[in-house]
Amino acid sequence: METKPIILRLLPLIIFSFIVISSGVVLYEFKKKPTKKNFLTSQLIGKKIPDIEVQEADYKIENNNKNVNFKEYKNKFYAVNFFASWCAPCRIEAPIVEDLSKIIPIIGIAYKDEPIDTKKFLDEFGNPYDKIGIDNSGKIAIEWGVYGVPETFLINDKGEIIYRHAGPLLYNIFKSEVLPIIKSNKK
Amino acid sequence: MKKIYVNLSLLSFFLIIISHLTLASEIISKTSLITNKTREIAQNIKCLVCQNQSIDESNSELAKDLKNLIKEKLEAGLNEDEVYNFLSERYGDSILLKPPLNTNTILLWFLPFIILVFSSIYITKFFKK
Repeated sequence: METKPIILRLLPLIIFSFIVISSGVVLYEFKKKPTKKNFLTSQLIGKKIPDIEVQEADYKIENNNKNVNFKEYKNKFYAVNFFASWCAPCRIEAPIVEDLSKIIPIIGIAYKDEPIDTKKFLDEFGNPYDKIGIDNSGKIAIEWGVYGVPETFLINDKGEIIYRHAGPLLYNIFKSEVLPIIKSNKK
Repeated sequence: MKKIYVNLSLLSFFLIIISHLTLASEIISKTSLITNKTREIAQNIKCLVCQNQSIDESNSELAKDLKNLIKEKLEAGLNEDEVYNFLSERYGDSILLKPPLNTNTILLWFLPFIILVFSSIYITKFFKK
């Protein structure tokens, strides 16, 4: 009786092992880097904040030509939060954003929102923002690699993006991810 | 003398008309070129908030914004590669429907071929027996 060469008999096992090992390596890489726990990790992590002018909202003055001055936040640890009054998850995260504002300054970016609606939203849920920028066209969001609202970024004192969370900032994420990063980076 | 003036005026009038028409046709052809290029690029960009759609096929807000931005970038003089780079710098290579070949994607590109070759050898040998 003719017997198969050993390599042929082991071939399925070799292919199977190869697939298992490659999948294992990929999963290990995801587990190793804490920022990659969120599968929507930003491409901008570790990079400087996008150099783009953002018009500052001032709901008392109709036409405000001032821009949000990100340079004011140089050497500061702060957050950037994209939000909108029409976004339901933004309402869910509002109390947590409020808590975050007690620890670090937050720049809010009102994404595709009518100023009157943004004002109503802030009157209803409180204004946790140090400054509010306006993104009517969605271009600023694209510069930041945003998928949709809400999204939150943490910026270190060197002006680098060190964390991004896509979706509402919930208490468990706030406690397990955001607070430890702030503690380890804030002097 | 008067006739020469009339002729010269007519000539300049026609020259102005012709130059305006040439300019208009150039603008139209440039606009349609950019529109076509925008569509071509949009067909290779994945809609990040939809499933299995390019931004060309999608009507989502993000897809619309990305299409507008691609058009603006092309109008500003960026070439195709620069537009792709701009997008992958912000959203990663996963935004490209044809991911580039690099160390991160080498398995993605070659694993199917490796499996195909080994499986073919195995199946051939198995049925030959």
